[in-house]
Amino acid sequence: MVVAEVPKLASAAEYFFKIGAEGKRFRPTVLLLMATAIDAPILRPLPDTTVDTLPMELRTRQQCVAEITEMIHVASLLHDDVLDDADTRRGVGSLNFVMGNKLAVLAGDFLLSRACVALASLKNTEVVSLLARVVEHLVTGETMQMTTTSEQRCSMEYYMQKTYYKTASLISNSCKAIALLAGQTAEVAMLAYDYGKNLGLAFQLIDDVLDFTGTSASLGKGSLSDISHGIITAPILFAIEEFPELRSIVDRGFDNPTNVDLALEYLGKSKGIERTRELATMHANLASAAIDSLPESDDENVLKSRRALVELTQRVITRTK
Amino acid sequence: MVLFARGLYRIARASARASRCQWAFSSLQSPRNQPTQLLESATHFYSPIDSSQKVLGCRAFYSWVSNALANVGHQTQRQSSPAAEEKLDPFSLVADELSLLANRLRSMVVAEVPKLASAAEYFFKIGAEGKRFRPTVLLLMATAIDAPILRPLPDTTVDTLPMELRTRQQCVAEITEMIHVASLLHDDVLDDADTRRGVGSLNFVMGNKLAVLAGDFLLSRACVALASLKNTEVVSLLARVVEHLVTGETMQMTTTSEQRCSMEYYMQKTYYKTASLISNSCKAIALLAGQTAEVAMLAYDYGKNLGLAFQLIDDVLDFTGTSASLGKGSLSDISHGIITAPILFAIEEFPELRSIVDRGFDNPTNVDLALEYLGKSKGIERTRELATMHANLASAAIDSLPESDDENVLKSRRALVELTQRVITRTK
Repeated sequence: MVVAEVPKLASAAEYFFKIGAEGKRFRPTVLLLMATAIDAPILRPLPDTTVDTLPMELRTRQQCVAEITEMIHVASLLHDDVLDDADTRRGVGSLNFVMGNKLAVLAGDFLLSRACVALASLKNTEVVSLLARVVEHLVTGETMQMTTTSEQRCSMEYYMQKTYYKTASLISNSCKAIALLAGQTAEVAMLAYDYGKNLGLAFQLIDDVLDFTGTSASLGKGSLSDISHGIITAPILFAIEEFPELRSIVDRGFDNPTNVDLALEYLGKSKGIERTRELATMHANLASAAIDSLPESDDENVLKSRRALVELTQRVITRTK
Repeated sequence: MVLFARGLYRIARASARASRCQWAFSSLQSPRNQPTQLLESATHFYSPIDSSQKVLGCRAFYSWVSNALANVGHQTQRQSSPAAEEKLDPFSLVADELSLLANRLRSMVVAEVPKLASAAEYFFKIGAEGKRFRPTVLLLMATAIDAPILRPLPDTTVDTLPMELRTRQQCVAEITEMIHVASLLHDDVLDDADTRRGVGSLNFVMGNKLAVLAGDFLLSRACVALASLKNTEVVSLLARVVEHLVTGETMQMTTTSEQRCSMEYYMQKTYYKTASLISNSCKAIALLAGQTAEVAMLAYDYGKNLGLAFQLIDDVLDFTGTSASLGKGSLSDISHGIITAPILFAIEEFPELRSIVDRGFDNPTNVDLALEYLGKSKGIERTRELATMHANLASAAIDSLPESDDENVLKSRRALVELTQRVITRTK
């Protein structure tokens, strides 16, 4: 889908889809599982499809949603790396580092436009609307991160909102899209959305923790990349609640590594890491509950997928990288 | 206005020392502005609410160009058919609607994060002073094809018909403008890998980031607006446009020496970069109106040929400027190593020019040499001829539209034809 007329553009866009750089394909996994998990007998006629093409058509369209989601995700990564002047991504050189900022920006745009074309081909305007809004959210989230005031930086509410935009919106809305494409009821669509949202939030919160702890349980072994970029995440926010003086350290910024060490000290003394894990667990449980609330089914594949989705919520919070 | 956009784009690129992060408007009238000064407010951008000298100067520039264009209009000769035809200014025909559009666009752009809003709004505020070329074409087209609808419109109910449709078509015009501006913002992002010497200044970097974000922001708003039209064919069309814009820009960035001297490659690139947006949005206008495939194709043809004609004249003006003689233009294309139609034609006559082109144009002597050849050749003439041919094709497309008695429809069609003339006779 990414083949372009201009070879450089093709290789740019393909950059993150090549084997080795593709990540775990987390999102598509969730979406395909969700597609099966909600696959209950359809109670009313599907919009936009004729009865005889039903099962095949639907699955293809749902796969398409998974592809679109991945394209949007990668496009946002390409742009984010330009914004962050990142050198590496997923263990390889970031595209902008390797091919220049401009090409990275163009490649991101290209992926985005391909995603839009694919979206249009689904001929479901509600789905188009949903995923268009996701793009907007991704941009808003990134902007929120880039342009915070000191007040906002220390606000848990602001942080959660930003996290929703940057991380959870894509997966929650694409889960919902999966359900809509299947002609599911509004309740089921909502449950799919809830699953995605809580999974996404749980994922990000653990991500925040791991940035401090790395693969060990102890502090300071993580890459500390958030804090050194001045990005204040949940553990620190919780720590500030316990130690208000940490706030002024945060305000000073973290260009100075001594400041980072100071903040880590406070973090170690506080329950910041614990409370973040607890919050993540809470969201993971909410995601599980959403799956458990799906309409009953006898189908073995359906049940398997649902168990898998629940399993994912556990892995998200117990992972060490 | 395409002219403005291109002109500013070129000026932005020409001021190599100052940050090229698209806010180099100030270099138009105060060249002594230091880049740092410029970029100090990069985080706020130039809120045009500031009545700073720079911004006022920009507005002056715009109204100057607007006047110039109006004057060009008065000079055009045109075969007018009905004797009682009034003097037609395409732009004033849609002026009211345009400002309605501008206001809606502005409010659409309001974001949760103020900094982003002022960044994105910047182009729209300044643009409001200018002629808004693309939206003008689209609004005129919307009226020009406004024939009695022969079959039910998709996605709308009959009783909301006329009002709804116009609003949706205006929406297409807004979306088009957003896509256009987003592409300008992204085109101006620099390659730090190539140009950074030692440590880039924070402002330099900040400018890039906000350019990327602002462009993304506009694109995302365009996506949402597109979705709201509930017409997946239109979504498809305009999504393809974004793809084309990117492809065109990349083609320009990554040419081999072979491709640089190929007229075919050049026309393809020009279609992608310039004509695709306007041709496909014209087509979208027709589709939204539930028009036949033929009418949609004619609208597309008009847009495409108009866009190509525009770009070809743009290429000529880059050499000639406001005078008819060579070398008085800004020469910005050639100094950036961008080989355009006049040179390509000249190479056909003088193959030795090809090796000069291959040597590149970092050396100004090479530029002079190329200009010499260009002057000896018929490059400029042939480009003008090609532009005229496209302008005529555009006119013909309008003339082929289904007959209508409606006065407004006829007026709009005349205005669209008038535009094709202005595009080729303009001197700046």
